[in-house]
Amino acid sequence: MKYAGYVISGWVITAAAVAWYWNAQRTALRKLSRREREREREQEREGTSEPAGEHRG
Amino acid sequence: MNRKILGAAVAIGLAALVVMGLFVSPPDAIQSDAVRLLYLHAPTAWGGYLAFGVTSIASLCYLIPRTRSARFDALAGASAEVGVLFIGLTLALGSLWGKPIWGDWWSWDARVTTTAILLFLYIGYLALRRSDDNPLVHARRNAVVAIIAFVDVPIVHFSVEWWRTQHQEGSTFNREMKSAIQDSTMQVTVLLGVLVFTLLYLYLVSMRMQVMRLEQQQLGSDLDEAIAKRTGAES
Repeated sequence: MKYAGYVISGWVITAAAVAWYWNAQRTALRKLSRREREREREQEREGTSEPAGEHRG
Repeated sequence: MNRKILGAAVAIGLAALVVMGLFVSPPDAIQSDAVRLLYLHAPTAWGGYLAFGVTSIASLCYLIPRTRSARFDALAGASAEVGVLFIGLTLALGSLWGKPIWGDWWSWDARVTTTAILLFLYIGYLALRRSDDNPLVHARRNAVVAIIAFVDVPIVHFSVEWWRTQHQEGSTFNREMKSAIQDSTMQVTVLLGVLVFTLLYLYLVSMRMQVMRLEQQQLGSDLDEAIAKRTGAES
């Protein structure tokens, strides 16, 4: 292939840039989703413990 | 469309584009194999135009009181980010193509220069979005800036007709230059690239918008928690 260095560099740079952006979003999405699930679980725990507290009071 | 299906379509499309662009399509009679860079250069440029077009439409919708919604502000931001990625790639690929064909990495050609200006305008817009301010004033100001920045898109597109440039005129949809891409495999590869980068744009924007939505939700929850703690401590 003529100009192979330029051609391969172009395709590799494009693949790397797209993969970098996609991976950054995927990582953020996983982190935020995990945090949201943890918060929901915490709220559920608080929700179930409150009535018991009221009953004791 | 479900994002997983869209992601699968993008992955298959990108694989097909690699096969078509690097192995199936023939070398150009004049540019030889350097033409293989154009199978990415043109689609990324199209993706950038599309992204900035969506950013300006979403910004306009945000500015109109009847359609004002935080979703339009988020869409504008997400789309501009992907647009900056695509236009950055357009310039990098153009530079890699320019060295063997034009004999230089960079040329102060009208198309190249206006594209670089476009990139910097939207980098500025993204920087502005990150500034701390009153959220409502902030979003309105961002929307105005996005619409003003979009003025450069038609200038980039028509620069090859308005000024004497090294850059060739548009060929894919140019009726007068029907003969510019004669080989049907080359035509299919260019169109496949445009389709794949359109799908990739949709995929990345939907991902980014979900990240923004979750960030906003958690920011709201953190604030609620902080207020609840403070009021609890005061009482």
